Amino acid sequence: MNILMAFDSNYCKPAMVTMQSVLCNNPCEIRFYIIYSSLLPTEKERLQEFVAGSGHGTVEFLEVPAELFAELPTLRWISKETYYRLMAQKLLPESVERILWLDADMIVLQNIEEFYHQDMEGMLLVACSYREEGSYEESLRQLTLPADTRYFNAGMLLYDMKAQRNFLPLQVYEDYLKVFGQRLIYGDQDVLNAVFYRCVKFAELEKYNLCTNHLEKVSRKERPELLRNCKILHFNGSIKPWEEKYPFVWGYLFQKYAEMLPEYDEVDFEELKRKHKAARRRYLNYKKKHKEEGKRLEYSFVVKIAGKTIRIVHTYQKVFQISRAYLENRKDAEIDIKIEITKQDIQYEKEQYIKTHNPEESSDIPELKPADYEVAAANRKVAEALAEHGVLLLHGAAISVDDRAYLFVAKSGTGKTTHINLWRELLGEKAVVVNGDKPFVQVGEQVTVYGSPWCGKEGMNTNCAVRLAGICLLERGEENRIRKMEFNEAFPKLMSSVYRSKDAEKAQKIMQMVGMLENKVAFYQLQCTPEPEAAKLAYEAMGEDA
Amino acid sequence: MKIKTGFKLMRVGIQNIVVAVEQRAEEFNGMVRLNESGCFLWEQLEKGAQKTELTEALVAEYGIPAESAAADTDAFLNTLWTNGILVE
Repeated sequence: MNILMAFDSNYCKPAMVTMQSVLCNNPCEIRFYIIYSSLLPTEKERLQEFVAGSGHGTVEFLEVPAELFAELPTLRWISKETYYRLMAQKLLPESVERILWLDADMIVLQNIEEFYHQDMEGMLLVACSYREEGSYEESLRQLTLPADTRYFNAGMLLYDMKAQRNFLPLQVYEDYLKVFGQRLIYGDQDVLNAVFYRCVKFAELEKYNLCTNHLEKVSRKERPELLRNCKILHFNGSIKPWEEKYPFVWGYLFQKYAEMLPEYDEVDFEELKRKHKAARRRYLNYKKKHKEEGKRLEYSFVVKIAGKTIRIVHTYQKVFQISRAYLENRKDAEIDIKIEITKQDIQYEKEQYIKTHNPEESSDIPELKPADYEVAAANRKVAEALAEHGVLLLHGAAISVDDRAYLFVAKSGTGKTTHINLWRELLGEKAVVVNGDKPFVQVGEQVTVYGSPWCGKEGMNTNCAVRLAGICLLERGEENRIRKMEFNEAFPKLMSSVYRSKDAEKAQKIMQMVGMLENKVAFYQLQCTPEPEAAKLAYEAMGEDA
Repeated sequence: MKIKTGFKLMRVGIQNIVVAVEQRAEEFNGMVRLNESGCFLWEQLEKGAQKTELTEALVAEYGIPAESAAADTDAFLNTLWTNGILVE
């Protein structure tokens, strides 16, 4: 049996427990392939010695450069190392025809040889699909996969390497990363779901990738039966059983294999168990308290938007998912703004949505879910808070070229998106969409436009800050014409595209900020057709001034 | 006749706009621009002036004939009525 894993020094110890569990329950010849970038020679030696010591295993190391994938999005529990499995096809020797990928937070509880040698029915991959609704919607949307796609968890993957070599060009991973790189939510798992779309044979989740968070959700009565049938257990989630604050009861399954390794000699498992118990009490109390108070379990994350560090307390996953590219990963970051999205906020957005989308006027209003209203509420609350910090929210499309940004303002449906897409066609990679719908604009000594996660249905945004050189009021025209405008002439349209607070004082402040734009940015009126010449004219005219 | 609560005149540079705030913003999300004499009239309205007083104030402030002051006042009030800014 070939087993593929990827880890570096920081995950070496837990990974050994996974390996130990494979060796214990599978008496056949096991060959481990380990992709790494920073294992120490001593660690490699130790791994080799430990596997050889089992009497039926060997290890091969496949090194990748440390800077590989460094640019890609990671989460606290999705490290850079998981991306390494995308290199499997490139790194593994041709002699490997089949291989089983295991995350380093998995435990093999039983013999899996039969599973390993199964008929893959012409598919390139065997994996397990999550049934949790909603969690992967945003990934599928970002990957432009159909909404009914069965998204698989990439913790356990059985690869037919021979078929992959025949059918998958190596380039495919790189291409996907290039296109979707910063839009990935679940890291390389998203990439794999796109690459192997429709090439997957699905295996029983409960048997081959039983996630401990699933165990938490089923009743106590069902748990023993589930565990009895489970062959591969996955300690998914952000807290792991080797950590003191692990609040679940599955630590003993990890301990069973960890105890066999001298690496864990110093760990006092009794003490660890007590700590887990304490953590569990805190966790259950927290849950109970919330239930009693009729409160929801809330989540929070920290983003950096328009130069400010913002903690967002939320309920649904979506607002977190769309904010991926803006996460503040420094743990000690000082929080400038804290916003909390309440049930009332969500209800308010729903009312607003219904009010502004009159069903009598148009028949195909897309139906929105609470998660969508929460996204809108987050935008409103962040805008309200940022107004206090000299930042405006504008309805418009901002594009950056040559370190300068231009903002196109017009009513919805006029053709802002069409126009900035013409810029992208004209200028290629030189042109970067800062935000396709609602950029933040900081008005200070100079005027800076920022990307943000809220960017309209096309999803165009970039986490960047660029000097705003011009604001252009866009209109449809029979021919293309551009002219400079005075601030006062541009004011009415500009003001109606600005997010105005309901708070009188704040509204006044916002209006003052708009007033400060005079003399700091140039104003234009562009009448344009949806033809490439429109972009050329606008780019050249505005670029000359700036 | 008076201005409904929640309508505020806001100024920046030479720009003057009337917007709705607080609860009023739920029913009115547009804005009404006023010129200099419009702002003057708004302030009189806020002080409780009625139509004839508004016209008189215009005459006194700008020294214009009563006839054109009355026409200006009518136009001003008309704009506010059509936007639902006034109440009897």
